[in-house]
Amino acid sequence: MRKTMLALGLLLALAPAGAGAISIGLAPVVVTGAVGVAFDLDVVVSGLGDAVAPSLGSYDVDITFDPAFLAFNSSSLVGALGAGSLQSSGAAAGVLDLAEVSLLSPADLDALQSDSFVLATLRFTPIAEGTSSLGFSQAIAGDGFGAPLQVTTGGARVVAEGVIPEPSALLLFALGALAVTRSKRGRS
Amino acid sequence: MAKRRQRRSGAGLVLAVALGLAAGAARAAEPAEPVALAGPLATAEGALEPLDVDVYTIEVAAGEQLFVALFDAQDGAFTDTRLSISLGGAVLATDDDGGDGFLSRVALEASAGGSYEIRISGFRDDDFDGSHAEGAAQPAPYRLVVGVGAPPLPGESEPNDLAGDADAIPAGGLLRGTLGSLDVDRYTLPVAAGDSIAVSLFPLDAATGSPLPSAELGDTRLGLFDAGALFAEDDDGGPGLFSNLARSAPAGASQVGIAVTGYRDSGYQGVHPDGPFDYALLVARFEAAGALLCDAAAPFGTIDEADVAAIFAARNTAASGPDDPRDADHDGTITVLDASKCRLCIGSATCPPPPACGLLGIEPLGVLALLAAARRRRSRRAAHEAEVSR
Repeated sequence: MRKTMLALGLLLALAPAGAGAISIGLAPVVVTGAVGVAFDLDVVVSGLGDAVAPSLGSYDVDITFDPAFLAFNSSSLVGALGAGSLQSSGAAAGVLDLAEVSLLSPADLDALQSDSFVLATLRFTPIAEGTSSLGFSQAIAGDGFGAPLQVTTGGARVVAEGVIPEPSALLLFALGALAVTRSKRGRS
Repeated sequence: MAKRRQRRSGAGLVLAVALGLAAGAARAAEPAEPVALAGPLATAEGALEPLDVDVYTIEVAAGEQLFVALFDAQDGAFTDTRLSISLGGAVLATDDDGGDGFLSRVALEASAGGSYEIRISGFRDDDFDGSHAEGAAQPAPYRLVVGVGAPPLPGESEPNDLAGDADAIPAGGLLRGTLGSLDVDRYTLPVAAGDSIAVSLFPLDAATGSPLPSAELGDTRLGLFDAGALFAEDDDGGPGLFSNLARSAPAGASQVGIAVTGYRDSGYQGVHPDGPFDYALLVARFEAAGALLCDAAAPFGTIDEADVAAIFAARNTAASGPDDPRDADHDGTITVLDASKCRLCIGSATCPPPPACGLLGIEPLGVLALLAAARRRRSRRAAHEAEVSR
């Protein structure tokens, strides 16, 4: 056992910096909603060191979505890379670009970050019934020194069920209820 | 940087020697002079100090035209120079403030072939023997551009009034243009990140094409553009009412547009009555020799947050070349990783690549983690053994 631990430790020590794989994905992975009702998705990174290296010093991801199915509302980068980080976000033609670079030192990044945390929160609204997927077309991430981190990505699936009652439908329903009520009063 | 130190008698010598000694401590090693330049386009960088005269030579054939222009090395015009051209010991032309600010310009047509000597000295050194105090506080840097061409010089190609019709600057850096009323002449020059360009206009005789000693017949305006946006301009930098300037190319620029128009035409639309008159355009590019990695945006010299922001803004674009200071990892593409590397150099005047791993390839954090895990395991085992013994 002791030899095994020693071997594992040596492997860790000799591994080139930045070689560790991390994951960047969307949460929840399945969203069930309704057309016209906005929902939130978190962009989550995991697989980092817990208050130790590797930490996340920069990332640049492109998230794809079907603009015929989903309307992009907003994105909020939560500043997970420290105060004053350089941030950019914008969506066009079914691609949402999120990028951030920390200005903290590697040691400060290590102290700040746990092994998993939210990078950004995205808000979409389904505009059609059915099922659609969100995925990553680009994912670049770097550690505290700017060395590349190997990234695996995970997307999400959105299921939009039915159409919520529109005002006209509600009005018709109310008129029907009123008619039934009057009819009952008339009979009594 | 070639310097020749000569002494003159008289009271001025004492002051000059004192100034020279004061400045001499920081002098760098200089190449032997005169420094031989080679046409058709030559550039050099130097610095003036008290008692110094910098001497360059260039071969010019009879009938060729020689254009010499001095520029400030720091996007300004405050270095106060004097310039002379001589052949076989005979001074053919001198100039004091013919160029931008206090800088000097000279152009002539060679009546005889030979090795022409270009001497650069400081203000008040009428005899070019070093009796000046320029650079007393600190060496006064300058940039020298020398163009040699046989007439007729390559000509502009009208119409070139619009950016899309701009003429490419020829390899020799020299061309001849004619500016008429309502006319704008546009040119373009490829640049790399960190480059500076120096542009100077000289008046030419419309009939003979020879350089004119006076530039009072035409009044020009000169503009430098990056992707259609004006980033520097000059009106009467000299000689006379002609224009010239030197500026660093904006970060990310791959082409610099040069526009020559009349002085009233501030919009570069051709709205001016000046002309027609002929001019020679001398353009040189000073490459960013050893451009500081990560120093991508003004102010240059120290890496700051503006540099990181400029790299971040340019992410996912191709680097302009192997010396692009934005491409910190030299992979040919500017990414967030470059910005992240460069942030580690904020506040520094140099930016060596940050180490990717520790000594001998051993990640120090891995070693620390190993030691910490071993310590925890020992303490757990000790606690367990103590509990068992109880």
